[in-house]
Amino acid sequence: MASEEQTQSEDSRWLQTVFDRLEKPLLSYCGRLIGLSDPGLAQDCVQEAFVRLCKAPRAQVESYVDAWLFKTCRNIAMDIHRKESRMAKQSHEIATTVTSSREADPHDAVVDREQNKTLQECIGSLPALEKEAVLLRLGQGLSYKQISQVMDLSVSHVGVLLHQALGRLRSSMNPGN
Amino acid sequence: MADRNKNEFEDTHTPIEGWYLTAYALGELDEASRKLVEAWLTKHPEGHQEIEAIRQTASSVERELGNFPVSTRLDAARSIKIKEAISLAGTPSVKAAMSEDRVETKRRRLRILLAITSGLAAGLAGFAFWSSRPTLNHFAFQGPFLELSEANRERINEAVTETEEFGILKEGEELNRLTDESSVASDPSLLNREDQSTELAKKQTLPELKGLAKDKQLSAAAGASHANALPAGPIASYSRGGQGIGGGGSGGPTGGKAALGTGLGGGLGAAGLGAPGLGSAGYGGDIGESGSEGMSQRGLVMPSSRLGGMPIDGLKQNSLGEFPDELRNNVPSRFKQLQDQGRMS
Repeated sequence: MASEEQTQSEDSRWLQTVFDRLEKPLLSYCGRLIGLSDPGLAQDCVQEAFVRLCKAPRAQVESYVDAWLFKTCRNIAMDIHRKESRMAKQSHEIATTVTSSREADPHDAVVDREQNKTLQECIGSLPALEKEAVLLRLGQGLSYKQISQVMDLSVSHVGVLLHQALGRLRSSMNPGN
Repeated sequence: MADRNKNEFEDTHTPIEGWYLTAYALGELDEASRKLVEAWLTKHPEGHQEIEAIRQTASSVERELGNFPVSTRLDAARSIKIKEAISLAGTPSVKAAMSEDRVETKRRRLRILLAITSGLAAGLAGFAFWSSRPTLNHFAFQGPFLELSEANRERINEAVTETEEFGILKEGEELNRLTDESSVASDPSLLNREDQSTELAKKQTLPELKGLAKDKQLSAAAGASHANALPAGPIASYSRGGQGIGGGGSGGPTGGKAALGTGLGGGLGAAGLGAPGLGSAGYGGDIGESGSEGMSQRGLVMPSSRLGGMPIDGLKQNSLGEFPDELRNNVPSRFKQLQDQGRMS
């Protein structure tokens, strides 16, 4: 009995640690996936993902809990997308809501704004899979392997997606090259 | 992975090279792969520029994505709900709920599997049924409706032998001549006209319409079409021939003539139905020249009424393929004639 309580306590502590560590990245990821028209939806996704995590057997998810949570959030977001078709607005919102913080020099600020605008538009116009891989790798810092778990793709496929996405973004940022 | 990478990097222009460079630039390669890339870079210094460009782009994108305005915390209500879930994690009630969920999931999968299996089984059964349905050839060559007894088979064989002996060729030519003379046979307006066909049947049940069976019963047994066509005469033959399937069935009274190529016009019908044991499919000699070469095969005993269910001038076979007595009694028997003439032993 005592052992069971101890296990339960350990599980709770572990869950709390995971929650503290991944709350922000998951909110950020879901916010990008769903868009900003309804910030509550991103919070709903994250809450639902954590509730599911609490019900899942720890032994099954512990080894890849980060990927598991991102994947769960992704699935929930996809469900929402199917129901409400909100993801169509995502590209536009990314392009219009992000503001640059590098505006120390007025001239640089103008240049940066133009460049960022281009970059934002480019990110928004990437193919869906490439954009998602970019969000997970460069936005959340997930490894190729974790991204492959989240997106249900092979590691090499993730590598190719990122390579293509970065190539597109580079071309867009430097059209002359 | 290292071996695979080695092969890939030997060809410096493979499309795969690019994503390895990107993975290297992002620090995603394992030790062995990284060494391979570095070895490749010593031979291809321009690769350093490429890697630097990738890193710069990635850095810009990271910076850009970091500026995305999102809330960093869940609101209070959601946080409380999650804390409750965390505190309940691992409790017996949650475990029971989890177990129930798993059971329900398994049940759902089982139901889906069962539905798919049932659908497949139904499909297979339907396909099997469709595949095994009787076809024309099936009827023609298996002939399950009229089984010839051994005695009858022997008698048929004897009859065939006798037919050959007595010069079937000559008889066929004679029938051809009669066919050519028959204006009725080529007149479509006479189709299905019972009165005219009966009249013609009477004309045709002359010695020219020489059956090859030994007696009436054998005639009926040997080929339904043989008996079938007798009362109808050339008109019946004509009409059935025109309809294809029935043609053979009604084309039998002059048995053996078909062997001369003077068969019924309806090739399909003649082949399927008008091929009774004595080669009597070819009453179509009255009608046309086509399609009856093969109808004089033996053993194709098939009552036409079984396939098409078509009455021939109002007379139908019974379920055993037999014809009414008034028909059978009127079947001319060449063998009887021959016997009467003392030409057969």
